[in-house]
Amino acid sequence: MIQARGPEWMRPGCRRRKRIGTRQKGGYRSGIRISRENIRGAFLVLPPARGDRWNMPQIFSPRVSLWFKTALIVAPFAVVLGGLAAYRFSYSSYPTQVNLPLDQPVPFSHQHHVGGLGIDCQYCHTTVTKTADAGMPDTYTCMTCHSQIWTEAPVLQPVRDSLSSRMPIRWTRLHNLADYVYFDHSIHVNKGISCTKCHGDVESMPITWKKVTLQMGWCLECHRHPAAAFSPPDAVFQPPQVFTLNWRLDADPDAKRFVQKQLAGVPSVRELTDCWTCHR
Amino acid sequence: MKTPPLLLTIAVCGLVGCRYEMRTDSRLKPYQETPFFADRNSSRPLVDGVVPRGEARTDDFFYTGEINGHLVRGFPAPVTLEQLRKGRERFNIYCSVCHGITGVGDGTIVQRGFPAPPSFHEQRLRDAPEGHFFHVITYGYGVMYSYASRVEPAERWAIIAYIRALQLARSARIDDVPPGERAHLAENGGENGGQ
Repeated sequence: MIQARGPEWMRPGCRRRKRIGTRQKGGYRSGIRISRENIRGAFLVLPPARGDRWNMPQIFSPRVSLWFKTALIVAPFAVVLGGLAAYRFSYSSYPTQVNLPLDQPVPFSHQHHVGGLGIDCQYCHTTVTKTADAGMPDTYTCMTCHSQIWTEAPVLQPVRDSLSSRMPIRWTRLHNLADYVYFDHSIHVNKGISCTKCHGDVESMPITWKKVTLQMGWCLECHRHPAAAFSPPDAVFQPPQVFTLNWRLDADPDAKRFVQKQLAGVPSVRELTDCWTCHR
Repeated sequence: MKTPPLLLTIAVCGLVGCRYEMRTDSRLKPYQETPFFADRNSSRPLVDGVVPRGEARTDDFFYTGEINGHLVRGFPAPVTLEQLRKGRERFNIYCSVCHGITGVGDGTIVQRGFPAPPSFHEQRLRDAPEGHFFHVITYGYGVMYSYASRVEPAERWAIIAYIRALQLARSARIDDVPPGERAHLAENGGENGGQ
């Protein structure tokens, strides 16, 4: 049994005292007792010395104590706000490189070649309907035209050097998927997903930049709602339809029929969102 | 006084998550540079004599457009509508930039200064054997580069079939169109004219 010590209001049976502890035969055994002194420095006070259990002096001045209390109140908000900031940051262009033109050995303009000259995507990206990789054009493809046009242009010097040295041009990769992600261009394109769905309006880019984050949440958005992702068949590559910004799927009856047909050949959403679909 | 070590622990745990071993493992992506080979290219040229599975090039007609050194006439197999559609698609991608959508040699690249190719509708090319076109696509001709790496043999034949269709269309009369199709032609004439 605990011997009564300390001031009168601390003794067993005193109603002014709040006690938290395990009730046992003969009274309360030790536990955390909330007293005026202890509340003042909750969490922050060192355990009282054995002989002076309840009457320890205040360690921190009220001013410091106030700082601690303020910090305790502010900390959860700081954690939440920090989390939100980190979340926003993970979508910003710094880690994702979205909307960030990168330096390239030759400032190739899709705006000029696709938008201006109307060259089809597949003229250079030849394997986009056939393999996982869309295919980067070799130097020979560039020189198909530039052996005759702009033959003296300084900006094309790396292309001519590449041809004469038989060393490929080292382009800077914009879309760098994590190695644990499997992605196949051909299946998407052949099913009717337009280039612009992932690459944006490339035909108006004077130098190429990444348009979407390619984060998992972004991929899943389409895999959960595949019907909204389709373009009609001729729009997959051909700029006039692909890049028609006011074109709407539901306004085009042919497109709607096409989507219905295509969806019949697309796996269920359950399969499309299976881990194995992209992580294999 | 316990808060800072706790926060520090959480922060350190968070940092542990910032490891990139799985994100960039040892496998190479297409076109990725590697110090392993002297020329730093991870994509390796095929060893001489490699035959892709299912593509043993035993059929001279189909794969070279020549038989015993003579350019072939005709097609390796009867031309189908599906093949013509494929040919149109491929022609518009690879050929129309110079040869023009209708094959008269007025493509956008020609308008920007590339030497104009001959029209497909001149008599010499109307009389040329199909093997000639196959040969030109495969090896190039004049200032035209080879398209062998961009257009597969089956696609070459599809394109040749479409060129023949373009040549036919140029001199076709309304009487050549089956009566049942004439109304359809008038209706879609403008829209599909160039295609």
